[in-house]
Amino acid sequence: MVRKVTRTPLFLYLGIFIAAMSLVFFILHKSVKNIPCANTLSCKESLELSVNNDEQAVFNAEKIDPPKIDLLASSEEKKVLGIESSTGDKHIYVDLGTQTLKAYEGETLFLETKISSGKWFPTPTGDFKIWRKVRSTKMSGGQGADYYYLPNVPYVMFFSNSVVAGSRGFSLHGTYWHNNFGHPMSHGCVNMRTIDAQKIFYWTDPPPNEDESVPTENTPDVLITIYGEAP
Amino acid sequence: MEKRRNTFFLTLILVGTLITAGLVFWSSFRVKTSSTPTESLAANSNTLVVSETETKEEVLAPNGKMTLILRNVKKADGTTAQTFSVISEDEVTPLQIYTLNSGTDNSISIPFNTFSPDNKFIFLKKGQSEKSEYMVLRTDGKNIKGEDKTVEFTSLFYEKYPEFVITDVTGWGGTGLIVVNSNYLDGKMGPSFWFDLSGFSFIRLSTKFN
Repeated sequence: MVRKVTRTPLFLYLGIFIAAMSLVFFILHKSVKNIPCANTLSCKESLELSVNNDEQAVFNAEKIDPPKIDLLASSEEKKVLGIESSTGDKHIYVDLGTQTLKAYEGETLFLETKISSGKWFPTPTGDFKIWRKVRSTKMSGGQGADYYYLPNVPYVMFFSNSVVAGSRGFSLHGTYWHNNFGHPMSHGCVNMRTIDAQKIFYWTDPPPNEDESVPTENTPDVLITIYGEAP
Repeated sequence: MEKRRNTFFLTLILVGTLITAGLVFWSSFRVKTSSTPTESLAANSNTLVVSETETKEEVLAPNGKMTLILRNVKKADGTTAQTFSVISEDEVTPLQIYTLNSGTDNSISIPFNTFSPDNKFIFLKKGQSEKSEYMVLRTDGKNIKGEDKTVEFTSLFYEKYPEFVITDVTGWGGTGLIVVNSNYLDGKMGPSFWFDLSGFSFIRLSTKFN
């Protein structure tokens, strides 16, 4: 009598396990590499200085005339607003819960104002440093009714830390396409009134000697602390 | 005999003095009583003049290129004369765009996000209660619709959406889009709307603007 022995196909289970693990690693790898930028359509482009005075902006399906940017006039602004009067470390606090920003120089409050944080994509929380400042850039992203195309975004201060890479394009910047501050309204950046962004732009280090600037080893750090939960 | 005469004269002088003093006191009391209303009116009149106070509020547009000036003159009768003017950064003289005489309950206040992003319009809040009214007007002083300087859009909203209550009007979602938040009548969270100035109509949104 021949007894039929059914062998457990161990190699088959092993193969399925390896395949599943490979799939998981592949998905994780792709998702880490493809973490969306604050501006999905202009991810790299939005990190550069750009002035497009002849283009129209689009936001909330409306066409908007962006403010004309004159880089020569910016040099006059530097003389007026870029005055060094450091009396302590500069620290910017952004409270997502109250949608407010406070900027301190030591113990002295330099500016307090309302902002708009991320609505369509969350603004990251944590401690950040400014890694690049540009007088103006272009930002675009979104889809369908949420599509936006914004040339001449003024007074842009990109921030990053060890978790949120600079290439993701999160920044503090001026805003000309809405006026709904105190309420989330952005795609991840911290929207500010242009008059407030201008003050912070010339107040923070590195001083904008050119229309774009990158901190060096000797540049004092400006810490940006973003905390709380947006409504 | 002479002593009795002196006593008589002294008594006469004393009585005369007392009568005179009494007459003076009585007449002065009468004068005071009769003059009281006149003095009171005069005093009130002075108070009226002193209590008329003027305050001024200035709000800068987000791009810093225009300022809205509100001049409040509070009158003695409790009403307030409110005058709204705007001035651009390259102008010297403010342009008066709206005036209103209002009571204490329905005076107009300026919301933080009053200016449209292009500075062509402002929206204002009338009254402080839950039934506040919101209005929009142009900053160039021209009529916004037909013969009207303002469009009060709260009543327009309730005509079209009686099932909702406006909870807040927060600002501008675009150059011609005012953000209106609402609740259902039972208090549940309702949707957000645009009040679209291109047609003075409401657009119900799928996104809630908190």
